[in-house]
Amino acid sequence: MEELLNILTENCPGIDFEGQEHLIDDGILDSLNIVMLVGELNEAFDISIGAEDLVPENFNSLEAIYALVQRLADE
Amino acid sequence: MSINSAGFLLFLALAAAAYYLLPKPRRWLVLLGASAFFYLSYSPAAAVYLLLTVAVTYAAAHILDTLRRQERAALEEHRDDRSLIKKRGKRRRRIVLGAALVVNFATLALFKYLDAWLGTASRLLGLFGVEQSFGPLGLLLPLGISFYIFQTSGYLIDVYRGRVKPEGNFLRYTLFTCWFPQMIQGPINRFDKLQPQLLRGNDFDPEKIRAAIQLMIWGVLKKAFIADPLAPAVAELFDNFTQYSGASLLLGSALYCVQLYADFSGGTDLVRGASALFGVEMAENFNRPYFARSMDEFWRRWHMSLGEWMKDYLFYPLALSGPMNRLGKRLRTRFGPRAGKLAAPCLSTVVVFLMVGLWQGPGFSNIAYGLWNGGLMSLAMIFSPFFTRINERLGLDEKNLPFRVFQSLRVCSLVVIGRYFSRATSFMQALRMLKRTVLHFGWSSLGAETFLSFGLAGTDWLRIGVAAGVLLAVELLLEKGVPLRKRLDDSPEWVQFSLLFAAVLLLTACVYLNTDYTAIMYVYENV
Amino acid sequence: MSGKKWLLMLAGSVLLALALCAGVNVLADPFGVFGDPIFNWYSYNETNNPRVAKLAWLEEHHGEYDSYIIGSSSAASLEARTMEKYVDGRFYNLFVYGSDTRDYRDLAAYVLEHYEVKHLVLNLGINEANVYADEPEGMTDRMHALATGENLPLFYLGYALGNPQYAVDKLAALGQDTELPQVFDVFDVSSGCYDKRLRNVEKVGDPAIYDAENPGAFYMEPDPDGLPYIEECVQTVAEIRDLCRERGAQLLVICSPVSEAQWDLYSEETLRAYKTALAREVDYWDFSCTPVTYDTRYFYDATHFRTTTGDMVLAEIFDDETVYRPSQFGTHVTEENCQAWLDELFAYPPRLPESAYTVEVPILMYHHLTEKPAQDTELSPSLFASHMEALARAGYAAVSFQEMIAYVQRGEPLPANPVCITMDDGYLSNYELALPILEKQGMKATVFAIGSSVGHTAYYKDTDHPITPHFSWDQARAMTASGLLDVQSHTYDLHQWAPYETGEEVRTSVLPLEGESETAWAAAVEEDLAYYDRLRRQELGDGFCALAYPGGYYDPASEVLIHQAGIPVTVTTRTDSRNVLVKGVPQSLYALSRWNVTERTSVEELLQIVE
Repeated sequence: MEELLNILTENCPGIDFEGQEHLIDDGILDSLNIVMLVGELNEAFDISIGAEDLVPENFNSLEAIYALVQRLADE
Repeated sequence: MSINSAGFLLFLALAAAAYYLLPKPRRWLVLLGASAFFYLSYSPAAAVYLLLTVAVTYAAAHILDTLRRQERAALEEHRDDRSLIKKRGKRRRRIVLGAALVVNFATLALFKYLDAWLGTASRLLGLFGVEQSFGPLGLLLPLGISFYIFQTSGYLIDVYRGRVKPEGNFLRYTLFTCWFPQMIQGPINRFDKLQPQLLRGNDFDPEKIRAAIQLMIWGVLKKAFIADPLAPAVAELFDNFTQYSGASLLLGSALYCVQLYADFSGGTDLVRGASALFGVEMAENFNRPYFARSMDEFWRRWHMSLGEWMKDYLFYPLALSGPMNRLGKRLRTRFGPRAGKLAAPCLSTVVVFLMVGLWQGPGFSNIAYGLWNGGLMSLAMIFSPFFTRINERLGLDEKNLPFRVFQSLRVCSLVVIGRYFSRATSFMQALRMLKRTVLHFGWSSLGAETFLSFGLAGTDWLRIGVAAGVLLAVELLLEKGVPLRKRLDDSPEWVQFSLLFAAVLLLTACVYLNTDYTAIMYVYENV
Repeated sequence: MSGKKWLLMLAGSVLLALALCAGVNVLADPFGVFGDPIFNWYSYNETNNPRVAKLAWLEEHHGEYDSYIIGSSSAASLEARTMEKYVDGRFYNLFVYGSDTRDYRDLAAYVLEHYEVKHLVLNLGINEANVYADEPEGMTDRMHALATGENLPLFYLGYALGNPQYAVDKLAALGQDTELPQVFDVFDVSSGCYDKRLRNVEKVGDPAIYDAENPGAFYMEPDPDGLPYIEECVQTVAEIRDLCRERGAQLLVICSPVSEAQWDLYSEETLRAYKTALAREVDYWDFSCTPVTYDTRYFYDATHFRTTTGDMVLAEIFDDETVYRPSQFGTHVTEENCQAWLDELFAYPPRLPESAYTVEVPILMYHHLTEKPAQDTELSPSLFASHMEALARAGYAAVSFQEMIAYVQRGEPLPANPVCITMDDGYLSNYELALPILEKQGMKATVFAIGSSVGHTAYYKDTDHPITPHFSWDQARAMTASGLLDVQSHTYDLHQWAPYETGEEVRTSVLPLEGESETAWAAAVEEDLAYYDRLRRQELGDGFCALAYPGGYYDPASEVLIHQAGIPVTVTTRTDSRNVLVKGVPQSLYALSRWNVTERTSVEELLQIVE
């Protein structure tokens, strides 16, 4: 979780991830952010996030992103 | 059936009446019947093509679902080779999806692009001295093909990804594909959003119907009082551009931006309103795009359903694909982390907008239009740290109103330049017009006569100006978050009645504008 | 407000808007369907849609008629009044522009069935075999439901809820309405014909000018399809024939004059087929290819023959010797003589040499004769004498306006090398000096005398401003009695000399005064014409037939007034077109050119002018 937050803040400066529930729905994260972020996440956690995983539910909050990373790492 | 004709209104009224009179479980049949009637009245031949697409995608979705179920069953059985089974299942589904998508887009290409490309091929061969001409096939362009092909393709990808359960009932699936309000100019709807609304049998809700009718009226007025009167002037400027100064051409492109917005958003309002008459909310297409402060934002507010489609089904898969990933890695080691990070989104953006350009039409000018937009957005990404630094140094931020206005105007200017390409009939024409704008701007030509020289009289300007002014004011208020619709519905009855009556009168005028009028032309000389 | 209430309000608004629209449409009634209750402006309504407005008007007025002319726009040149000269009947011209034989049948069937009909004239051109049952597109070209038998309430509803722009246009046109026809009111309501008052004063004569003023009027696109509807056309004519028989009405079928441009579009075979098929069903008068076919001056354009050409047609049918028509003009075609006639027609085109029916008459303009000419309106008697002598020696025959009129109207011959000599204003010198010279050379001339100046030998009217002496009515009588010097009109008092006038209004020409209303102006001019005519009748025994425009100023409206008053000749001071008189074309006597002759005009120059 800690590591994830670090990656997030590093990649998307100026965005406060903690406590946000609607990162996508409110347009805080746009598609470009996401694509860059996914690259970093894939790299850092050695996972492979596919296009089918890029739905708002998976990126709306820090917790959701964490859950996604966890799930993919398990596979 | 033209969508702003009295006939269409009558059709809507009858269909809505039938819809709400039937018991709820049967109501979707009215929607199917109305859609079938609408489409058949356009062309029975086109209906055949539509049905072919329906059949292909219906079957493909069914196969995809079966494969997924088989895979799941296999996973239950063999708990050891999970990844192998998964891999094999994925490959099979990929093949099915790929085949279906190829069929789908080949259909689109056949109807929309083939003639133009054949012509180009003939010309190219001609350059090499080969006298082989491929005659145009002259196929009828099925109504709404650009929309239903994208809609069904999105549906297939969703089924492939396991996001939606496929529709099992062929008729219900047909309704999803041919829902008549989306056939004229979109929007491109998503299965998971649209289908439940189509099928569930909506309640008769006067509030919703009011909102629907208000939306339709608003749309028609935008079309009839801004877009339609501008169209001939824009056509004149683009068709006979050699006769006009660069300034006039720039004005022409700006007018085209206004015309296109009024036409497209007006039409979308109209069809979304028509759909909402039946309690069916279709996807949004516009969110006051000309207030956007960057090109990226513009494209998230302009033709939104296409943008979303492109994002989900093209941009993400492309940007996250293996080759992109590898490219990013290679660039990272050679040019540093920033280059590696930007490679995938920039390249994917360019490809996506190339597709957006092609979606509009087959010509080089459309490709150029796509490249212009994709290029601008990539450049914005690459230089964004640079811009941020400048803004910081100048002390400019979001809260600075003049800066925000400047940003919006910058976006509008870039859009205006881009429209040279999307409106011109050829790439060369767009270039020549741009050249004229730059080299023969003709400041001295900026007199009142110029504004009256391409077919708009003073009274036309006044009428269009008033209408556009009202539109701008309304959008500004909405942009500032003023709940206009609520205020309208809460205002005194006489205000509402006056506005409604005025709107109905204007609407009547629009309907008449489209019907049967021949000015006395039997000139005396012809006795 | 609740949504439900809002929806009710919407329904109310829609109904109100429709009612408003219907109100405007019914009250302004731009098509005359509802009887045009306020404006009663059928000339406008019929221009908008004659199919509807004419029938609507006839519904109220058919009691005034017992005979009808049916056809397309070219039938407008068969005038109801001319028919009435020859046939005992009260005619209404029920022609409809842009119509085809199906429309003819609908209209004929309706009037035969519902009105009293003694005579029915059916005008056929070539186009009748070229279009059939064109689908009407809208309010301006659909047929009245009375004639088609469509549902009447729906028909009225359609016009009540039709585009109110038509009503708005009509109201706008009201503000621009004038006495004379404009694009929006081209019908003469009581006769049903076009109101061709303006069209029929357009000058015709000099072929170069006529072609230049009507560019493209005599060009027709090639028509490779031939005449595809011969069968339908003939069939509907047969139906009309049967209807007439049934109702005891006399049917007269006229195949009216066709221009060379249109005639040449079709092959002999096609035209023979049409004419033969028609002759099998009805007897008809055929004028389609005659000498007039080959001269555009008998036509307004390639598909419309002139009203006066129509007069010639009717004169031929009813054998009116007072109207000119070429020999070999019309033929009464029956099934029996049809083939022989066609063989003859196609053996050689009935083209006439121009000299057989046109002649050029240069007109010279003199004024005052005096021994000491000081201005351009003065000339020495000796020069005048040498002019006359030179003309006579060169073989010119001076002609009177009466002779020119007889040539044009009745085709009577003119002497070879005609020339016309005129003298303006009515000076005593015309009588004292010019008459003897004319007598010596046997030359005819015409004086255009200002009525109010006749007999004024010293002063301008009742003032003490001295003027050049004018001759008296007694002297005028002597001049006309000589048979050489005629006296015609230079207006009674529309040639006022501003500096000597005492009143506020000074009329120096026939044109309206500044800010003068159309009606006041017309009344003033008409009164002046009538007064001169009365005066001349009283003093010289008959009215005048030629008018010289004071100062040479005129316009189409003044031409209309003067020719409507029955004056066949007007002369001007223009010199830009040659005076070519055409038999059967009265417009060739309108606004004639005149060449001014001054003291500086040598005999050689004079001969050049008349050449």
